Amino acid sequence: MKKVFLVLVMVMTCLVVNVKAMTESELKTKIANGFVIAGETIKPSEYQLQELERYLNKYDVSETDADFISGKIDEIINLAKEKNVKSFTDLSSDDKAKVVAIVSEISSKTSVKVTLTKNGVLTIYESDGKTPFTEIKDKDITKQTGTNNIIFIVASVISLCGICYVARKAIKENA
Amino acid sequence: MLQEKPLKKMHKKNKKGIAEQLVISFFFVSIIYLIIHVAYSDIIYNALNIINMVTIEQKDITYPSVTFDDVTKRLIDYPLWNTEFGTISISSVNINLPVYQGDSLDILKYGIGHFSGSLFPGEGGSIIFAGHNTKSFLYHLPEVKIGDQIIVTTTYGKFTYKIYETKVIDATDNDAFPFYKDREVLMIYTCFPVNTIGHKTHRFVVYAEKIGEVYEK
Repeated sequence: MKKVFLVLVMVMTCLVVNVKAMTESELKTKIANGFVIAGETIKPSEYQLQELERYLNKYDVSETDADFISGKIDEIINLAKEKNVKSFTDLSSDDKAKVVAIVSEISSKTSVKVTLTKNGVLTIYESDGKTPFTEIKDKDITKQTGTNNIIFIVASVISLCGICYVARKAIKENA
Repeated sequence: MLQEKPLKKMHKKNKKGIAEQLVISFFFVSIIYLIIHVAYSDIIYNALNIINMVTIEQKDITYPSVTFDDVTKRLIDYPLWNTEFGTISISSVNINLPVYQGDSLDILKYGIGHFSGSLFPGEGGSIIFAGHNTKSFLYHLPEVKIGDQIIVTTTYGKFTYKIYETKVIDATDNDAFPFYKDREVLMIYTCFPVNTIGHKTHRFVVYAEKIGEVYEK
């Protein structure tokens, strides 16, 4: 019985050794090389790669996790190819939900804590799973840095209503 | 029965009177707000700026400890998201503001945001800062001139940049932010134009190259 167990352990060890696990840097290369969808190569920007590099400098991703993430990335890419879309925002609501579920599976089954909302906000977290490491909203670098005029607009509307009210009252009283 | 009706009428009249007074009060408060906003905004801006300058200078730096590797010219520990890690000063247009890690809309309420995909000051590459175009933040950024200096102070060093270009770009023009790895360029942007209401489709970008650095030991 003990011999059978030993043989089993040896076979299992050989199997594990023979299956080439993906390393952290291979995962990075895979992402950096991009993916071909509808004849076009979709690549992350230099800035996005810089974020990835910074994350990998800070946190180690095990080979098992890298393998799992790589498989999930393939699932997402295959879905995009199947639907012939190059952007998350172009997916249907159901397909977006599928991608969100895949991302949440990565978060629950690996050390990489990440969430994706249906609006396309990808947040990668620190190891505590709560503090954001980075937030990637869309492909554009710039954010909406315009003036918040809400108070100004509300005040203007109230003033206008007030003027109308006072004017109406004055007309009524003079009539 | 006969007395109840006039009472009800009186209550109704009172309620109407209170409502009228409230409307008139709101009206006057709004008018006062608009007058202050339009007439005294520059004074308020300058006052806020002086407060910023004083508080920034007097504040004990409690930024997160960030280690800078002198050999690789890279940060080893990065500031956490939404934490203040430095200050930016453009004396020619009276800008003195805190700099935070990240550029989400929540962060931009408090100061200048560092785009987390870009490098940090001192790392020798492209650095991207963003800020609102309100009077408390980067309203006066479009007034900078070529040759003006920008000083970024962090816990690990003080970096001086000289403005060499400014331009107005489309908000979706990512090519306006080249990724340098061998040339330290600070790019600061805000929504443009600064004095209009509504969604902005353009950005005003300032490009400045590093001309000096002093590292903290």
